Amino acid sequence: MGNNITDSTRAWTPSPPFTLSTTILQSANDPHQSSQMYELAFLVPPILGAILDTLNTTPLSTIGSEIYSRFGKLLDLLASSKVDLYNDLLEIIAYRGPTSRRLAVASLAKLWPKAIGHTVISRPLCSNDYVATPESADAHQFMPWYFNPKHRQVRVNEILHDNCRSCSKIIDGFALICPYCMTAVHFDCYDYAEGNYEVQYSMANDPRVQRVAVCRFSSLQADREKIRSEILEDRHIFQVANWFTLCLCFVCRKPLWGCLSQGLKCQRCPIALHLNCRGSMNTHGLSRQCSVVVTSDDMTIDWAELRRSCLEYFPILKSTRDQLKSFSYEEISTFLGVLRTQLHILINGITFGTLVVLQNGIHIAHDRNHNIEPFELHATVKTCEELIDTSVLPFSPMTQQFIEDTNTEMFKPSIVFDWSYLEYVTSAVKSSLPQNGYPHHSAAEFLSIDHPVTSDRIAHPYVSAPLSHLRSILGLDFSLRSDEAAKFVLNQLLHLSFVERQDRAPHPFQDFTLEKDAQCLFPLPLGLDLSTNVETLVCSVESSLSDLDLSINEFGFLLLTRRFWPSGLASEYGLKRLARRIISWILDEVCHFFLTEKEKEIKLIL
Amino acid sequence: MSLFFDRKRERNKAHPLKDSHLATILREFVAKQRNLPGVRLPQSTVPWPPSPNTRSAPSSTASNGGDFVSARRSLLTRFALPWLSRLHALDPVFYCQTLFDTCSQIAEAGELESNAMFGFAIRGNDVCKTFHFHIQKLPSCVYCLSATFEALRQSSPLDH
Repeated sequence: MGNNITDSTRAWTPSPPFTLSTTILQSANDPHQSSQMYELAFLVPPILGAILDTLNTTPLSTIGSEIYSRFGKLLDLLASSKVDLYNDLLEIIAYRGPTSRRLAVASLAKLWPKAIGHTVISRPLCSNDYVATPESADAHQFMPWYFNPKHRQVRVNEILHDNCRSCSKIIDGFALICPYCMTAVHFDCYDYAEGNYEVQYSMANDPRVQRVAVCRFSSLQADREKIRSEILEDRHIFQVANWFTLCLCFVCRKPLWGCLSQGLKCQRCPIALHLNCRGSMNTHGLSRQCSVVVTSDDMTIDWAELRRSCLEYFPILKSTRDQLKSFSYEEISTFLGVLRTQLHILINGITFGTLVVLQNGIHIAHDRNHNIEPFELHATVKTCEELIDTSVLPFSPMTQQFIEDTNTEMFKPSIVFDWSYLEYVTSAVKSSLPQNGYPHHSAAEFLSIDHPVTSDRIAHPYVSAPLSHLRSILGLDFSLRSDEAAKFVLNQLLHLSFVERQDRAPHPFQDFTLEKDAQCLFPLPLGLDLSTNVETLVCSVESSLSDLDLSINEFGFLLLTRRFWPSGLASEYGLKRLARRIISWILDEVCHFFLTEKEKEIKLIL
Repeated sequence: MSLFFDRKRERNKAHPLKDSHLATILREFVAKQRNLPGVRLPQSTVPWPPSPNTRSAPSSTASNGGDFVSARRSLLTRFALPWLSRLHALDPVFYCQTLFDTCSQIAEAGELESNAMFGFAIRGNDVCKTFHFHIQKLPSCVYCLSATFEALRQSSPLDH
């Protein structure tokens, strides 16, 4: 291996406003909490458990619905004042009976739907009496993903998470995944009714000629109250969406660059626009009503303008090969992941007709292969691929540790598309201090009474921290010195719901300086966390898999898959316990058959 | 490696062999024509993309429990096997040992307590025989066994 650990002299130093923050929150179960906090927090699970037990026995009458409604409000209040309420609900799932477990799962699914995920086989998790099932309870939220064939494991004819759920074939390269249920599909297999819409447009120079383009996208669930207000205000119903076929903003006529949450999509008409362009809809003559006539001008862009806007959106594209060589492995791998995905989205847009590119006065769509003249996007992707393959880029110590622990020396992790690596990064950004040594902390400071820093403190992750803290850890621990690369990684974590914004805004982080104080939550523990809450997580999975209800079983499997995916970094003890529970769950079915066979024998005897 | 704290737990850990989920399903849900626990209702929308193993929705609420078994097997192929497969790929010897330990513990559980439904005891030897008979019938268990053999094949006898 040619990769070396990043030289300490090149270590990134956080400059204001990016500093390690103290405005953070730790779990109420953290051993370093005060005794008052510990005693108060200790009361929450039993009280909640008692309420849930009582709720289950309350008949659904007028009084009953009033009680359910009040409980919903109480839950919202608790969640807003105690951000780690999910640990209390997990304790109920882990240690109480099946009735309160069901309601606790429904409560979790209502409060943290993305962190929990959604069911695809059994009934929706929040389909309980006191929590009305949202219309979109099990709606997918697809995002682009890159499946690296080099990382594929040997299989025995089984269907794994890198198989297309539509055609069952193995996926190589660009595809789409719903990270909330792990449904992956080829882009070509994406005939999801809620993810395709047609744009019928007339040619600007001849209105009699009509054309149709097919847009592929995925809406991201937004706050339902907000949607209601928008219906009255704008008559458009805008939702943040991921586009998989590049298209133009109807306001500024520039492409919706990016791979995630590129803009807003009206649910009623084909209008798509940038988040920032919404305020200038009127000045651009765009109707506030859903009666827009689309012409070819809304779909067409000149190649030079396409290139210019791309360079504007991705400043990294202006870098020369020598400049790219000075980046760390993590940065180049992140750029490669994002830019390669962007290139796929661009080509998809041209192929599906959502983007008509004029190149030397000719429509690219008229070319047999839809070939677009290469520009910096193509060149940078190629350079990044070469740099990754030649192994000349230095790893950060944390990545080196990951490679050693997961025994993946042959297959270096893809920073933004490796689930285990992203779990690892999340565990690190939760930590109170960088694991890689923080230059501002001298040995003397460890003995300071004013700022006591102990090794124990590092072992207990935060449940909430400002964005600036996360940015600092990425720079210090993972050599993500470039803000551009760090933003891509953080938005990926946000999209996978490893990190959530406290304000629940559905749009991604756009500016570190402006949003440095934006509070980030880390909903639900991860298997890699250095926390006592991992024990609760494991017990929750074990209890969920012991339950008769298949929804609760699926909840347990979602936790297993999304929060405790086997890796070399996970605790052997935890993996063993979970594997035993899964094997027992499988053998339960054997026992069912065994008992039914026995039943037949008994009936014959009797 | 994560810190892991083994705390005393107050919960009922039902032994798998003491469970009679299907019997409960038959008695408490099918016989009383109640909705099967966690099984999607016939009128609910089918998730996209439809699973090739999904049973067609019954025309009425009447069910014989087959939907429960079908959904359970979908969970098995969708979530349980990929997780175990990943664990096996990660460390075949560890996987093999865990599988062996789990099966041993179940088999060595000895004489089972009386079944609540029928009020009689099933002897441990019967359990083992029937267990081995049925384990070969299920693709999931065959996978477990094949993975075990694969693990044994990969680890040389000299290693031991």
